Amino acid sequence: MTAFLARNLKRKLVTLFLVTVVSFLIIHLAPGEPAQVDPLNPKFTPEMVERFRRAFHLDRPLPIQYVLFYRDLFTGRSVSWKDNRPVLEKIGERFLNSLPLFAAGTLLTWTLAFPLGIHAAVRRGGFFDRGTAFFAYGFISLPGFFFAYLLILLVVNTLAVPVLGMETYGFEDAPVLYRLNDRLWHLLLPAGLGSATGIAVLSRYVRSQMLEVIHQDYVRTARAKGLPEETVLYKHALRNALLPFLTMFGLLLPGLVGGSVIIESIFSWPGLGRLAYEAILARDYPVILTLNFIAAVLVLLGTLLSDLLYAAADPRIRLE
Amino acid sequence: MASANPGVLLAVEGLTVRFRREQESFHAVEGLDLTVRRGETVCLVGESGCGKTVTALSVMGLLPRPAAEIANGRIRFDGIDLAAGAADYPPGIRGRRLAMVFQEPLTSLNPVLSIGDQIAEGLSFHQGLCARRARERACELLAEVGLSRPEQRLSDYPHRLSGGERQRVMIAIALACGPELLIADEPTTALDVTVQAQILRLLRALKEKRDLSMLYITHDLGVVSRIAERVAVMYAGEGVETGPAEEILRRPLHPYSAALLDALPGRGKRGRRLAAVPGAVPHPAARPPGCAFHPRCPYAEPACRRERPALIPLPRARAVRCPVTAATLGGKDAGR
Amino acid sequence: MMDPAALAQADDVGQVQHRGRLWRTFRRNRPALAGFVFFCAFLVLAAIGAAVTSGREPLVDPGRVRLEERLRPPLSPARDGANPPFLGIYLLGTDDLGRDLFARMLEGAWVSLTVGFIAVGISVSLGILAGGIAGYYGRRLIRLRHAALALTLVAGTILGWSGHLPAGLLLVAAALWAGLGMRRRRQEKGRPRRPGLLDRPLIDIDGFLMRIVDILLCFPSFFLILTVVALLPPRMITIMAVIGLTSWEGTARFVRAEFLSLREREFVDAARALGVGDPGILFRHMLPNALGPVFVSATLGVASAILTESGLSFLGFGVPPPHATWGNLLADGRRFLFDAPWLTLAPGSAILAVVLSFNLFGEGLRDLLHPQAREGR
Repeated sequence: MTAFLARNLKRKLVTLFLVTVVSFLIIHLAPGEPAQVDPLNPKFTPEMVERFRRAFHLDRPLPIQYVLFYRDLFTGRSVSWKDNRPVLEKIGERFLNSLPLFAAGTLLTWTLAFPLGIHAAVRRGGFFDRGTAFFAYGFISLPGFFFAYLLILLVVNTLAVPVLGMETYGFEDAPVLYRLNDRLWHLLLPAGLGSATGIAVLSRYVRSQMLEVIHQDYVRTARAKGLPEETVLYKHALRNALLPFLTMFGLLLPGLVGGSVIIESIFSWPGLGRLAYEAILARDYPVILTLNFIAAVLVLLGTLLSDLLYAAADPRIRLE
Repeated sequence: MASANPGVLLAVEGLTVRFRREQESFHAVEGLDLTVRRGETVCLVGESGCGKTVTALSVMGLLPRPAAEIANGRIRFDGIDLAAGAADYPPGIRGRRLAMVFQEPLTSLNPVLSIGDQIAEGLSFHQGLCARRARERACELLAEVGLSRPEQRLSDYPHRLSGGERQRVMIAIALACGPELLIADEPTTALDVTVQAQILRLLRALKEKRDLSMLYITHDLGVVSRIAERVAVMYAGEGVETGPAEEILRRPLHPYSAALLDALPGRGKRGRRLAAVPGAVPHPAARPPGCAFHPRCPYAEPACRRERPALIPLPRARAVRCPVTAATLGGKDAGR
Repeated sequence: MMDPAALAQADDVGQVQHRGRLWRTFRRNRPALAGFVFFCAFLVLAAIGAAVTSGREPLVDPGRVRLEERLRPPLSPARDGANPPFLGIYLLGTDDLGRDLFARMLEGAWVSLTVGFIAVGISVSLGILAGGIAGYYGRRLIRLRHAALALTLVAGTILGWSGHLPAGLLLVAAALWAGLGMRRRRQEKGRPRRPGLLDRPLIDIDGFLMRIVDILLCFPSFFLILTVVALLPPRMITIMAVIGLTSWEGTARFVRAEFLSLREREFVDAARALGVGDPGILFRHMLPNALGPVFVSATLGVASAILTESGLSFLGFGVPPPHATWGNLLADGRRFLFDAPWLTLAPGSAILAVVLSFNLFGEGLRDLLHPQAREGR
């Protein structure tokens, strides 16, 4: 176990290092320069551009830039080129905005996808199965923002429910309960939308996993014991069908950063996805690279977590 | 009729099982008759694909739905009709009075549940034992099927056990609630030869001790000679010969049974080339007209190609589905 | 033991006989069949669209601006007699510049399809290449000298590209010369040399490729696509290449798994026993067997590439004008969501229908290749 962790961590650190190199190279080798040092930008005099280049080490060779950049990142000194605010502070602020959206979306996805998928597998070929399949394919095939606009059209025209932003403007002084209610309403549409595709994909996957397991010999053994069908399905089949999803549970972590650029853009939600989008537009390298670094760490942590979860849940797996 | 004969525990009459796959449909078992009396071991013999396992699953009500269904016939267990349809299989029979051991011990145990759990859950459900009592009982069962260190094995998971040990666990699960009839579907086929003998010995001992009735499915006539009191031979979904084991082994009547026996190495055959049955078992969807065995039969007559022979009852509790050899009973040694 | 030649043929023959049966099974899966029919109809439509909207004097002109005909709803007759649309009515209405939406959709069909197919072509070729190498040659070792060689090459290229042309060329030439030397030495059948420092094994090929996949997985894929597309000059080929380059891991993974298992199969042994060389085994015997699942994932991949393109268009990084794709029509239409909903609804429903048909067709194929999921045993 300890040996597994040590080896795994070493491997992941190497991967992380390579990721930092690759992302640094992608950003710096791409043609074009950040707006602040673009000599064609009329807002800047050559002196200002020169000062900027020096301040951000852009006059140094690439390897040195790399070292200096990640030194700044780890010591928390890197600042956004756009507004000179510390990168970590900006990210932290947006993260807190993204968190409720992410949490609500994930909760919706996981609580709905499993019952739907299991039910469809058990009643396979029946009305429920066909119905969920129809909707699942529909959601998977819809461009997310098209669906969002359809919903907005519907909601704005029929219900008086707030849609855009995180809260209604001018509500800052309202009583706490009012504000809470307002924010929940604002959360509803983006979270529901963000999870629609997730529910569709995950429920199909749950269904096929469940169908695969239902035909295993050990399920027949459980039936031969004369156990009630519910026990057979939910104790013997489901436990085995759920194993692969533990892996996916670990892989949820990176969603914290990847977020949904599109959903956040549609609903003017000031979250991490928007931050990334704005940073890319402005070629705000420190923000882009920091977000990328955090995402990579979360991916690697997520895979480690899912390995450990899998080993805990499946007696056949031993970590060596 | 079962009621007419109080000694009969399981009576299968005219069982026909239909499989549907895509657009084709065929009978995997057709018009099978089979009886198991109390305390008796009956061997169901035939090559793979002849419908033995389907028969066993029909009795257990475990046919894969919706692909397979009982199209015709009756299955009575102690006078209770089991063939009314898989959906309303009578409660309190399966796992309690009727149990089954499967062919593949490697895949028949749930990999994520401990051995103890898997034995105890039937006990808790059928006999209402509390968790602790069920666990004690599971431990006794493991000892009974000859597993060493049973207390420790209770919390082990199946992947830690060898094939033979897993099959012992499967037997323990089957015997947990004290069934009257045990169906064993080729329980030794997937195992090493030495382990096969051990499992066979175990089953025989358990049968004596618990006064079990057993329906033992095998393709191996060597096993039949060691365990069976009566034999039913199946070919392409049909029963072709039944009778006391001794009689059939000594003097098989149906040409197919004779050919099976001939293919068996044994005393008095040393140095001779073993006979193989020419040809292969037809797929049930492509069963030839007339007697299903006629393309491979050395005694086939023109009538065999046209008319499907009926099961002909013979003296000494035997029956054979072959008019040609039935006529020679008492005459020359059929088939050898 | 069967004769190896017969054995090598057996799998191929079995597959041909199987085909008629597969088609019959596929036909019974009604959603998949509908998907397939729609898929073919869409191909035909896109081809017709490309034919009638291109050229100097197109039959249907998607680029014609008629400012007096702005934002006309669908099915309205043309008021401007000089430049009549197809059949004289605006079948799907007009946009804010008075361009005929129907004509734009026809043009967009072909472009969207091109984006989807080329992106998937790139991703599938990369996936087959990487997966095939990992599966077939996976156990060969990459030694220090290989790594040194590759590093020199890359360094030379970068140097040459960034302005130090002579130094770069020198490095590339040195690397090529060393590489040729290595090749020559391997072909010589001399006495075995003592392995030196440069022969130190670093990692096997399989491990190396899996590492690359590990690294790629560390980038949230839409974020990566967005970054690259935003940094590179906006061109159609960039978008297709980036979508293709970020989506090959799945294909690579199962081609690798398939090759690993096929390599142990009898018919491959038999082919090898007959003296078939590596390329013959790979392309004639192994690849055809692995193509089924590749085809499935390619079909699903086209669907997701069309969706990704529409997402990029929404963020302003899609295929740039003057090309119309369904994605950028949809993205442009949203500005008139309340005034001219047809500008959103028409391309949106078209994307939905096409992506849905690709998905249904792909899933139907998958069911066909993976029968356990289809029928109870």
